[in-house]
Amino acid sequence: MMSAFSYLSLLLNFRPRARCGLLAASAIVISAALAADSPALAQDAPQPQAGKVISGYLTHMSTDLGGHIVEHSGSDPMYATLVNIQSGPRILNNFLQMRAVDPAHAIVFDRLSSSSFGYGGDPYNVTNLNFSKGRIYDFYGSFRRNRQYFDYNLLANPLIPPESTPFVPILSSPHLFNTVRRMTDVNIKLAPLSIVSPHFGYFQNVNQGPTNSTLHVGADALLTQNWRVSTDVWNGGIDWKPLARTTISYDQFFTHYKGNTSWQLTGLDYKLSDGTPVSLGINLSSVWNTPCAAPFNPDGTVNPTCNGFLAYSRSAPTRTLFPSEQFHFQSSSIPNVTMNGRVLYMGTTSNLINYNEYFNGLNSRPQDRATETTGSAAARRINVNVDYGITWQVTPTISLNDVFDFWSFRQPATNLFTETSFAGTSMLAPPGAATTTTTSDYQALNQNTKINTLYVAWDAAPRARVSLGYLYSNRRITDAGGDNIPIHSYGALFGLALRPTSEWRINFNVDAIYADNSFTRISPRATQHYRLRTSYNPHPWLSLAGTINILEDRNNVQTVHHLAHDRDFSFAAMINPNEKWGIDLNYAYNSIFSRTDMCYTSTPPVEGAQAQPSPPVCQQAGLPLQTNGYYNQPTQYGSIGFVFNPVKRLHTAAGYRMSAVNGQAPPINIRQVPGSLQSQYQIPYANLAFDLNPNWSWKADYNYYSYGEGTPIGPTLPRSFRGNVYTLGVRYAF
Amino acid sequence: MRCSFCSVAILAVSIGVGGAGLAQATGGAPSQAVVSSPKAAVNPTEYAGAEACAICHEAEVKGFNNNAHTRLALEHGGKGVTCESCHGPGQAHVESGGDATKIFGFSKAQARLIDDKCLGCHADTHPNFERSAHGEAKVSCTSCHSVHKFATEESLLKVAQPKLCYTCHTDVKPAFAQPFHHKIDEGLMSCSDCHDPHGTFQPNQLRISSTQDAICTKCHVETAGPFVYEHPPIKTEGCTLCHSPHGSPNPRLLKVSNVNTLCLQCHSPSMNFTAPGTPSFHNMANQYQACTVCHVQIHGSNADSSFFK
Repeated sequence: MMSAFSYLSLLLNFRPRARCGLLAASAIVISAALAADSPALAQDAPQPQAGKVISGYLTHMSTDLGGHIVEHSGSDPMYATLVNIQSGPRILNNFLQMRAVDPAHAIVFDRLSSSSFGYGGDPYNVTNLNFSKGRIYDFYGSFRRNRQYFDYNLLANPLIPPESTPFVPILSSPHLFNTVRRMTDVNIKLAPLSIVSPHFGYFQNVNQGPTNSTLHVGADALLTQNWRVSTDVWNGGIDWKPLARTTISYDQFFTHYKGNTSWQLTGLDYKLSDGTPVSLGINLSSVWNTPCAAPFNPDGTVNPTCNGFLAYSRSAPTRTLFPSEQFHFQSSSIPNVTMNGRVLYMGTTSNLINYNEYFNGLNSRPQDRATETTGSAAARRINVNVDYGITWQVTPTISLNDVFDFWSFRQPATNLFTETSFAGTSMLAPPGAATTTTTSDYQALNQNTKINTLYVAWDAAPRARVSLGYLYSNRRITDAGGDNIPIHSYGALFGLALRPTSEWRINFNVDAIYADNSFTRISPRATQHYRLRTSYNPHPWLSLAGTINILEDRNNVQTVHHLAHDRDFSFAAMINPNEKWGIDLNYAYNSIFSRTDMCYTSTPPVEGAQAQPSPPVCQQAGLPLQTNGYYNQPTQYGSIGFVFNPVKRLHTAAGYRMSAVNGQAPPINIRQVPGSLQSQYQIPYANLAFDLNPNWSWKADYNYYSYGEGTPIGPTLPRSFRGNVYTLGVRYAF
Repeated sequence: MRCSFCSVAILAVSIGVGGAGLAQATGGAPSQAVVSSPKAAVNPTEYAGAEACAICHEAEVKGFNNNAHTRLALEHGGKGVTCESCHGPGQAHVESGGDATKIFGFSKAQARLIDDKCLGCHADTHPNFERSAHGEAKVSCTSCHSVHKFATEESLLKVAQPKLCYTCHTDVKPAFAQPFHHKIDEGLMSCSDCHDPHGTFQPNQLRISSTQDAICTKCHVETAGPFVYEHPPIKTEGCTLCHSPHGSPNPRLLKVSNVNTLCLQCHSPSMNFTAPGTPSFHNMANQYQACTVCHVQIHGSNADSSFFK
């Protein structure tokens, strides 16, 4: 992305006659460049220079070298979860563009561009590479790597009561992860301008790293999950243009998924009386009597008759092949008619060939001292898509549009497992008599969907378009358990697009959709979606935009009474009077709300909560309490950004943005705290660039990150943090 | 006033007046061919040639020289796509001394006419555009793209993503400023990784993955399945039943802050729904408030119908 000041400096190079026009033509450009300049990771495009002719190519390149100096305090896990920028040298940006001066004599390529950022230790590294040779080929490739650290300690945390003895709070999320995802994407299109044009592509996604997980076998063990999943996608296809403005294409995709994640026991924090390490899991609470009423002996060793883990391992290597064929076409050869469609078939086969699980410990309820489970599973997905869309320009001002989508999938699946259980009642005793059980299962999930959307668009005036439409959907979901759920939906669609003046745009849309059934309690039977967007650019240097986006969902049936809304009101202003300074302002208020009748058990119930006797359907299920599930998430967002270029060589910018939420969740658990639902996330920033000479610039960037929660932290560690990230660098460009 | 007029006019003309530099660079003759137009009737005397355009519109020519259309301009011995391929015959415009009414100007044209110009060549890659939300809303091609002045060479966007999208979608920008968000502003992803702004057959102009699942599974491959034990709503209702894809104050982009609340919304006994209710021994004051401590494989499992493993 081009920074505001680099763009503005560009303007300085134009002649006065063109400058005025250019300002108008691209007020949006300057404004948007202002809009989101901020965090240290926001990447700058290079500042265009005159370039050099190297080996017959007009070449532009830039390299930003520098590094971060980082200082943060408070919660390290949360800093790593939300920011994760660390100190050290970096290749901040790199850019190369080559264009053949005489394409007729360029051999391999006549255009090439490459950009990359973040190498050397930033959590996000990206490289893009494009090159092409006339009408021979187009190549596009990218590589993206990102480290994902996540430790929000309230997630999947059992919130151990402080009254427990001993009190062993869970200080990190039991589902912490620290993985790296690498995605490589390459595509080439041959003879892109020819009547027949083949294309090929390859995409790889590898995600791996250590994570935590949990397992419930009597106790809730903490596991180390050696995460490794990947997909390889090969595709090839051919485009044929038999007629002017008609293209027929065929594509073949092969997607191969490999799931090699494995699990090992961790958290062997205690010992049996014979010194054997043992894990009691993460739910160690005398208040709950977990993992048993008396987990410890008087001498501090673990009660061998308690639920516990001595060893555990699991591997479930999964391979899935998704071959799919797609035929699609597009045509606008018939006067006043444009249409396109596709037919796709995919037959997926997923195999878990060699499942292997070993548990050693004690599961007291079934009195299992150890278990070994082996087996296999296979699942298929047969998927068919047929989509067709047509637009008929009935008159110069009226068009008739229809889109039909058909989607059908069915998923038959089976598994077969053999479990050998070794009886026992004490972890000090070896596993006893073996019992072998073989189980198999058959499952299926099928869905058949047909959706037709018909609408008429009328250009009532050169600056006004009205559209009216009707949507019909017929969906049927079935499964192996005998469920057969038909859902019919009917919707009215209205759209209005106005341009009262060349500078003012207004768009208003309403979708009102009603269904006679729903698959889940929170799937709406009635939806109203209102969207109003407007933008106004009264001057080349002033741009205003606003949005009202209101989504109302209801599934207001007996014992559910689900209501939800997502109401968003937002505004943006960009003021760029001249190339020396500019301001960007944004504000948004987002109200997210839902309520759903929910019934549950809680002993004791939450004090002061809306818990009330549940209806008979819940009482019969042994869930005596009901709450209306009132949840709200009002979020305020604001940002302001300044760009100031006092002299030609000096470029500065500063700003501030914040997101704050102050919501409520239904109080179901007595130790529940709002956590991030009542939080503020603030990021002030400032940056400075000084052009030392036409080729060299010095840059400095400062970002401050602050995250805070305004409520009790709960029985775990605080999550607030603050961090200063200083980035210094030099840019060499030509 | 003059400045404003000048600005708008240049914005209008900036879309297409520009190939002169190409012609000059290659030494080719003034272009007469209009390879992009299916309407073959061409009267050579109506065309001025790109060199003539450059006399007044030098700045636009500079921009055009940098963009991908120059490759087309080099076709046919330099008679490929040039200024008049998009703007139409320019001789009358030249002879009138620059009368803007005598040439096709993009800034004041109706969206459909602009789209027709561009889709004349690009309909094969954007076949759904006229039926897309953008097309229906009269957001024309030149609202986002500029042939002459662009920030990204590959797609000729006026401003790089996501800033371009934020200029209209002021309601989306705040979502990516929330504590938990997809890394759009950081440059790892772009809006068009998930959405095709030119339209698709999916709602919200969403793309789909190569496995015909929600586009989410392109990266989150472990959730694609198929599994022996599916969590059915994921396949039938989609990921957004539980997750807010752009950003959220809640970890894992969950739509509500507590996992137990999210689960209970569906797993409460009620009439006419087949989702199992929460078992009576799941005392919410005890460890059962964190449902996913036990139900770890909540997106699907091959080995356990309760999603334990």
